[in-house]
Amino acid sequence: MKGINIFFRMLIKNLPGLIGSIIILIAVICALFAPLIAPYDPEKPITEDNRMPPNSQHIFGTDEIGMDIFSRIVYATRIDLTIGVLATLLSLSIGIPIGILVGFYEGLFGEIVMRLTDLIQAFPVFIFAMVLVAVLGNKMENIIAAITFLNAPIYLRLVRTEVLSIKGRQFIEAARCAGKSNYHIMFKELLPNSLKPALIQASVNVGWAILLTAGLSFIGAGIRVPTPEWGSMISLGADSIMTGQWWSSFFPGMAIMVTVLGFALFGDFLRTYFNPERR
Amino acid sequence: MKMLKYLIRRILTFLPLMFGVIFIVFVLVRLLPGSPVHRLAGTNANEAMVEAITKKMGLDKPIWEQFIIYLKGLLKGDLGLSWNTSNPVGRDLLVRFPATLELITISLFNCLVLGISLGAAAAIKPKGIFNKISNIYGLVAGAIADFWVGLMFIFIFFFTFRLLPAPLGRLDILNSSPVRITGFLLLDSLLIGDLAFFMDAFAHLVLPVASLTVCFTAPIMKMMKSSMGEVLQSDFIAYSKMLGLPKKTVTRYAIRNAMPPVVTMIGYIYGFLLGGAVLVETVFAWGGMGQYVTLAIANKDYAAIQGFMLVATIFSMAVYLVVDIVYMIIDPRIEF
Amino acid sequence: MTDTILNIKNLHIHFNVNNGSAKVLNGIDLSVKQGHLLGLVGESGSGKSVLAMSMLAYVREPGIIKKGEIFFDKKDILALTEEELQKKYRGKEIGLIAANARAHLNPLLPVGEQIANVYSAHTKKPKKEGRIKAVEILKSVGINDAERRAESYPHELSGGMAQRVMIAITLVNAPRFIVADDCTNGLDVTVAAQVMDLLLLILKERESSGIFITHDLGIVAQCCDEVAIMYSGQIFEQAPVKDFFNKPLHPYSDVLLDSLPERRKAKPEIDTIGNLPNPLQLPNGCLFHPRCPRAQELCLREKPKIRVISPGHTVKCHYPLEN
Repeated sequence: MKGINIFFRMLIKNLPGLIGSIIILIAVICALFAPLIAPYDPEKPITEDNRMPPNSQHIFGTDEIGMDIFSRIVYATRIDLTIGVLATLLSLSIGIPIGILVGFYEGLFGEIVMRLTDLIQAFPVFIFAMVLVAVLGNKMENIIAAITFLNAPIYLRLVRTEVLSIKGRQFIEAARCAGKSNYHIMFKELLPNSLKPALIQASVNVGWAILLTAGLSFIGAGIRVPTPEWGSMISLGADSIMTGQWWSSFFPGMAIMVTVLGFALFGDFLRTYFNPERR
Repeated sequence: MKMLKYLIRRILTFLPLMFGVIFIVFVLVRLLPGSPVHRLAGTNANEAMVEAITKKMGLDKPIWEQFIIYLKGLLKGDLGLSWNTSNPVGRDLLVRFPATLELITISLFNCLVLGISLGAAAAIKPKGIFNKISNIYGLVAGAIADFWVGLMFIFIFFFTFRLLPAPLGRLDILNSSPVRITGFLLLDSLLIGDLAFFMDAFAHLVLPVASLTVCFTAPIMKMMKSSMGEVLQSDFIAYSKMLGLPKKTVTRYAIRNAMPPVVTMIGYIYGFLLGGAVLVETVFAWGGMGQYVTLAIANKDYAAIQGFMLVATIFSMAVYLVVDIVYMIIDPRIEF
Repeated sequence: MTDTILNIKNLHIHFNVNNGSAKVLNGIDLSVKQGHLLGLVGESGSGKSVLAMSMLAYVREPGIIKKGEIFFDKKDILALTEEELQKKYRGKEIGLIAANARAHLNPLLPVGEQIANVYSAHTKKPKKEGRIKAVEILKSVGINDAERRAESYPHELSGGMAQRVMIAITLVNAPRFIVADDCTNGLDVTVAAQVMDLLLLILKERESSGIFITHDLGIVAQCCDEVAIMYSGQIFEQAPVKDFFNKPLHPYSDVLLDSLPERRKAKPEIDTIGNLPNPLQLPNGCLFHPRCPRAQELCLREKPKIRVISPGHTVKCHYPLEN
């Protein structure tokens, strides 16, 4: 309990971190309570009122098909936020344990795993994601799977590097001398220390995952219209930009920016929290 | 020669990786849902037609045989035929590669210049307003989508102010590219001395380059700032000041010593942009590699997808190799 | 009466850290005469390196100079601008030789080029001449095969050779005053001896003045003209070498001298006295009183002022030793 108290006390004093947390909180609330917050149905067009600029009835305006943009933005948090958070959590759960194992045991097993991650990371990221989603199908679960697969190597490498550098240190030797098992060393000593940089990276990665999802959906390789998703909303509004209807693409893009920024600010706070010298 | 041995060693380790990539892509594309045969044959095709087309595409053979045939073709420099454009994939890529390369190279150059100077300036005066602005820019730039930035720029500069041309490709629609020497329009126009052509190509490059620059300067700037920040705290910089070296020299020392991780970052971004620029290419109807492969995936154009992945991977590997060599030239402590 | 070339008066330097202000230098009073070599002795953590750098009017972040003056040739260098310091003093009139040479040299440039840069910066001579001068000075610090060595990078040099390069780079512009901060630290005994000999030779040749910082009283006894004892950011005693070793005045000096072999034969037990006070929480009164075997009530309340006991021999103590 004491640890959590310190965490919150620090958070309140750190303005950027606080703003980031509030943004994340708002996004989560939108996702959970979308039907209560959004004034209109996100997938039913209000037929006559398409391409309307922001006004009192539609605070963000309506899009090409006549759907209310604000409602769609609120509902889109369910997709973008879920994909971002889940994909990152899954990447962590897969990448970290393997990273610890590889860093600890090294040897042939380690070499093979590292060559495989080299292989995965050799592909052009964006196109690889496109192919994976195309193969698996344009559904949310598949996008999560694809992003997880692409991101896990990042954590694997990160944790492995940490483990390799900590392995030789004295407190590990001490644990060994005290007769602790390998399992204990790996998960009670090495894990907590390697976790910090991974968690800092994770917060930023949620933002990347959201951007990747939006990008895939924008070119039609991700979430398909009319499911509300920020990237596909931008693509719907793209043609209208040339004729001056800016709101269709502007607001979803802003939603992406604010949300990703929120995670980035929180990630910065985590860096300060985990590094006492920098406090 | 040490360098030669190193290059050979790198290429040798690169070959199995290349093989892995080719193999995985080969298998992956054949997992794409839907059949390319039926796409080509159309809805009214009868059994006989389907069989004939399947045979023509070589898809009747067992997979491992298809793979061998493909590999044999690769060794001869044949990347196969695009079922979508009916052209050899090699030729398709060759036509589109300069478009993408011109775009990402100019963008990367901007990112490099801006990122390094802004990062250095922010590191030198950590309490100044410059640092605060660069912090905010760094956060925001990392949060915006490059294709969205492109659209907003189009709205501002094309629609509102009519300063720049419409996002309909690399040149004005009325201009077809008069000459194709290298495929790099800026270069070609200068080579034939056609100023109007140059201006046209330039005007069309402004917004897509600006979109990529805005988004990708940030990571380079951040890396430079943190790297240089560390160097400025080092013993040898403090000592250089105590030796009475002028500020210019000390700054020069610091920038040079901060460069290695920045160089690595630049290489990574360059490799990323080859495929990653597809979104901006789409917004501006650029006709580059990214759009080609996006269409190919939608059309299950096996050879085109394979060809793109091959080229993109070779490109990244080449970039990483250059980066590593530059790193070794800058930092004499690294051994081959 | 030889002139005083360096005179430090009441120098206070504090470091702002997260949990307070570390008082590293607390009123340094120190003077060096022209042509003299002063040995400055103190434990690790007494603030020696901070003092060394301050003589070039340089303080590393997050330190600030709270009070005090440093008179070089009667001019207060702490009052000068960065530009003036860079152009006229640092590397030109005053030079610093630090320990751990490799950490202080630019890892990416050949050492010859670094020396040439320092030379050109102060003499405005072209690079070519700088390179020639660099080879010259490398030879003079005893590096054989100087031409080839000038192209070496710091990480390629052995500890002893790197230290010589550091001496070379400091002395290339022939500064009149040299500060050597623990410059034999980490070197093998034979190499250390060679480096010391070299330094002393150069100093004698050029008639330069200097401060030699160390925790080795033996070296001070052999090589220096005067000695000063530093403790927790203050100078407790300063005296000509002979006077000091014959008749030390400060209780702390007595304890330090106990570590010398000659003394130890006579006194097999050494009084253990603990550690230096924490710069974040300095004691009131005399900084040594918590460890001083002679501490009295006055010592707990009042900071001792400088007393001149005999010519050239000063001490900061309420109850100096009498023999």
